[in-house]
Amino acid sequence: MRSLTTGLALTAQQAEMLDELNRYLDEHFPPEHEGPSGSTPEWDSDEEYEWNRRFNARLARDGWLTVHWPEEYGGRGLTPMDNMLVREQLSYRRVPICNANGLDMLAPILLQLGTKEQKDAHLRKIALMEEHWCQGFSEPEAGSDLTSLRTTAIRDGDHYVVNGSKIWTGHAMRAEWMILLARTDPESRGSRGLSLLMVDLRNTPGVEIHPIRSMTGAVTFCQEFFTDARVPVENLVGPEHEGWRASQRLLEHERVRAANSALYRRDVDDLVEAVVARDVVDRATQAALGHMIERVECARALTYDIATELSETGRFAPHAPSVTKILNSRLGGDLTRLAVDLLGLDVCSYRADDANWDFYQEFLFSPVSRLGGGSTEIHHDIIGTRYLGLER
Amino acid sequence: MPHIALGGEDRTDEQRDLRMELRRLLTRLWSDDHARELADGDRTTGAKLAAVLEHDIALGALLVPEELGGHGGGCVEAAVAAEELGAASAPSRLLGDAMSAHLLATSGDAELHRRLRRVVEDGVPAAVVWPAQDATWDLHQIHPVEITGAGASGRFRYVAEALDAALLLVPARRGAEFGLLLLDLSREGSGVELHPAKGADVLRPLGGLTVAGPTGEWVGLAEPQRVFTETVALGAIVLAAEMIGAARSCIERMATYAGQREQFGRTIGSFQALRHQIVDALVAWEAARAMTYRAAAGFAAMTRGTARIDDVEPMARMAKAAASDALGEASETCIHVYGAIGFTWENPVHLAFKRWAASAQIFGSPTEQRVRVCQHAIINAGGRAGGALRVAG
Repeated sequence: MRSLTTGLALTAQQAEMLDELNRYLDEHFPPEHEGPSGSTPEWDSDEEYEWNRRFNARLARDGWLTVHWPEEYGGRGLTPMDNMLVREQLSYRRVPICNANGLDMLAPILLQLGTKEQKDAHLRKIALMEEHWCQGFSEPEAGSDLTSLRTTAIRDGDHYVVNGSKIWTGHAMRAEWMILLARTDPESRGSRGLSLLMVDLRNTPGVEIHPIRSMTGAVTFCQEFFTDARVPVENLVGPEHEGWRASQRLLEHERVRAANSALYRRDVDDLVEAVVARDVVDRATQAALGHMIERVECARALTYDIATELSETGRFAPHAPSVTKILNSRLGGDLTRLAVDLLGLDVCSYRADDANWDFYQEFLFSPVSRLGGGSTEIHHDIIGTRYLGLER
Repeated sequence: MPHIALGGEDRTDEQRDLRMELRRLLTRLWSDDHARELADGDRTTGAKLAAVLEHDIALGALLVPEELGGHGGGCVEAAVAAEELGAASAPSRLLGDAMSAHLLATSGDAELHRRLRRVVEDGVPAAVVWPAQDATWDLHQIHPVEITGAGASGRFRYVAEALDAALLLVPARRGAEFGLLLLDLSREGSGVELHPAKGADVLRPLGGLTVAGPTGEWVGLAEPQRVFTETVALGAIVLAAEMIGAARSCIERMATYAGQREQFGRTIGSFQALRHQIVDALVAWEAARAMTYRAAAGFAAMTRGTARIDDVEPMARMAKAAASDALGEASETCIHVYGAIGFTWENPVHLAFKRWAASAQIFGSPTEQRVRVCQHAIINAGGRAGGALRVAG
């Protein structure tokens, strides 16, 4: 079975780890469960989702999902770079990763800001897919202007009382828990007075979840309504009223995930195969495909740099997440439109043998990549004002 | 001028030191005025800089192995130096020196190793005569100098850094055998004709070369194809890094200017339509820079024997194409952000704009690189087991 080359000088240990992972996947991951890029397994049918959730739990038990976590929480204590190498292979093999919000966004924040009780209560369950998480940030009136959000969580004794609504919540249709950004200081405005709360969606009275059917035909998002929903005070993550900083860290972790770039490499490799199988490939097509490979590899190079930096210093450049986000979101659209252009009217019926995806699905999912995790325009402003120092 | 510090961290102390030393030296010796004088045709302007680069830091020895008297640097160090020289719009012989050092060192030929040692000891400016418009990087696809009983015969329309070189390393063929023709220009009188060619980039004049008659010294090579492909790949990475440097300077300049220049009572950088164009140039640059250093690290790994040229060659091509686009976008946007001032001779941005027109083409245009990157992927796809795609019935 195919694997992804890194072009990096890997240590013997890293090379052996990736070989072992590929052998493991050859044995345990059948190609009919390969997923489309741009999608998340939560959007799939119940049967497919259940298979993937079980497989993800198995990956975690066998030590492949959280290699960079401390050993006390079920990790292997390896570096962020090692984790990235593993995730790249998983992406390239089109292994759908469930619970991305729990694994890649909440967990790093809990490891950094969480109390011992919070870490003990949630980290292992996140990895083993026993707690599936979603992220409650956007609201009907607060999209790109996120800090104008209106959902309140007012302290009442040992609880916060939550009122308001969240929307465009991916994963929520399958999630048991939400990491919620809400206004805990009712007198505050803007980014001050916000806090991060962990909400047990399925066991808290006053929480309603409404599915939203998207243009793909599937349920890809939900809207949630909170009516006097009581959340225990011990579910506050980080300092009260200072949730904006923590949520920024969380979003940065979302944006520097390497998985996208490697998935796009698989996409473009599959597209090359499809195009070669159909016809003689003319020069203009070769140039277009070569350009796409180059863009994907540039994005991978940048994510390697970020992971190396994170492994060596624990930090990465402040604008790096936004740069990565812009590159990957454009790739998502351009690559799938190239696929439609090259496969023509066959695009809806063209698919890999046995696989659970086709290029048309990827085309349908691609607009999300320009919006999710902050729109491309918001990221331009983050880079322009915070990094280049230009006025807003 | 206040500068915005762009660019990620260097991985080793040596790389950091080399970058800082070059930055200090270039700040002291090479201003925009110098670059303009050079553009005005004053060929003496670069002499002092060249002398310091050669004598004080022996840039020519950067890629020469320590056992042959050099610094023992690799492709990453070459990229660091090229980026800084490019950012300063400074002329140098780095491309020719780096390619010559790699070619002679990797040949595995004892005589060529002795020759390289002399090149370093005497500070001989050397250049590899590879046709600048070639995109194949394949010795069998170009026209090397033909060597017969009557002597050598060959013609190259555009060659980089050959005009002021003293030693030329020319791909050559004798019957079925491929190798090198060494031309020592201090000795060869007849038979070698070098002439300036029209070109866009004043910082790197191109020359045409004609070789005819009994001249030069033939050296057969054990693995001529590998040696030349590697050498041109190294040249492509150096050119990419130099373009990354030039683009960095454009981005720093336009971000600084957009933060100062006011219209409608506010800085022009506060207008989203303009600000986002600058950010787009930065995003393209960040990606191309990461790819360039990834390719350089891959090349260095190949030199150490832990990577293969088959994997490094496409990385070098992608780096060159991405860096070309990054410089094209950054230089054009920079001129635009400066408004009409950007179009003046006084503003040095035109040097970067022109450098793109030459450097993006040398050793193959971005389109040529992309065609070959795709062909490489097609060959790999053919070799993969399984995963066949089909039209569903």
